[in-house]
Amino acid sequence: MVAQESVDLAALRVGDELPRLVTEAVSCQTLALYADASGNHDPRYIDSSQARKAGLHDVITPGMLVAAYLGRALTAVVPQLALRSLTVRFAGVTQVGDTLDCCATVIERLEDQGEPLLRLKLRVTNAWGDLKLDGEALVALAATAPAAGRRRSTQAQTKKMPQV
Amino acid sequence: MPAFNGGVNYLDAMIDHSHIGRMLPSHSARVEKGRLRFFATAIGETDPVYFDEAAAQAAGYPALPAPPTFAFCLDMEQSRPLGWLEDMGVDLGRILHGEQSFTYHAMIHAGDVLNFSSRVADVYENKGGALDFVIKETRVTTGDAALVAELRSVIIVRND
Repeated sequence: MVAQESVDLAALRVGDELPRLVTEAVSCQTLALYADASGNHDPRYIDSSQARKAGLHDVITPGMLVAAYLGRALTAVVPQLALRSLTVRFAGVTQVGDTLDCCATVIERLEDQGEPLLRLKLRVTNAWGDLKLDGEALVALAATAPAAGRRRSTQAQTKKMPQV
Repeated sequence: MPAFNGGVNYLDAMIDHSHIGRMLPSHSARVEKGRLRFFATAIGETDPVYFDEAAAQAAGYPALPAPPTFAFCLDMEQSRPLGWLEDMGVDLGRILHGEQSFTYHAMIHAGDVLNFSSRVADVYENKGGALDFVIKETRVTTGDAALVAELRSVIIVRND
């Protein structure tokens, strides 16, 4: 059982880092559980021989599991009700055995339609510092649901995909 | 073809831009309590709010909440979740999930019945056609048509 860490969002300044989440090492069991829970049984995630046929060294971790870990890192600190948006870009393949370090840093304090928000820069790296995922989140300082009629466009906060 | 890109002709692989704006078949899914607990376990969640209804209610939620990325899984809950890409001529062995966005308008809880309505928002190429990008946007609404979330997926297709 993990209590919500008490972070006073209103006191955070640009450059401040939220408490990190470092996951257990990803195991084959982790991948099997997530395949069932997510409903995605892509063989590259659960079957080594199929993964090798697809040209991979071994099974790989679905990017959406890494995104879910990042979601955990956020909701451990920010009530989920205050999460306004989450954007992730999949930057590298996560292997079995990787531990993932999920980090969120305040990059902007802003207001949208009168609501004070923090813009967070998100990064997930393994123990070697290899980038697996980066992205952005907007969180409201007040832990309340978005006002009705609010229409933040998803497109507006996502940048054009960088050159791969 | 002139060898502007090293002699490789990607034109045949390019996705027809006439797909831009195409609506995909909508579908609905019920948010099951047991599934939420299983999902929370699978992602290593330990916060009782995601497992215990009393804890969820104490935190102000009417029922168990769905973690931030869960709506993506429910959107894939279709007989051919990527069939729309195949119908566009995309080889599913060549796709990568490039990017995923969620915009939240309301929390999703156990017991909700959600409707997923998607469209092909954009198709474009880069690197002289070596990569195609397909953008899918999805509106998630409840039975009374209230918008709860918007999803945006960037799918990369390797043509090399």
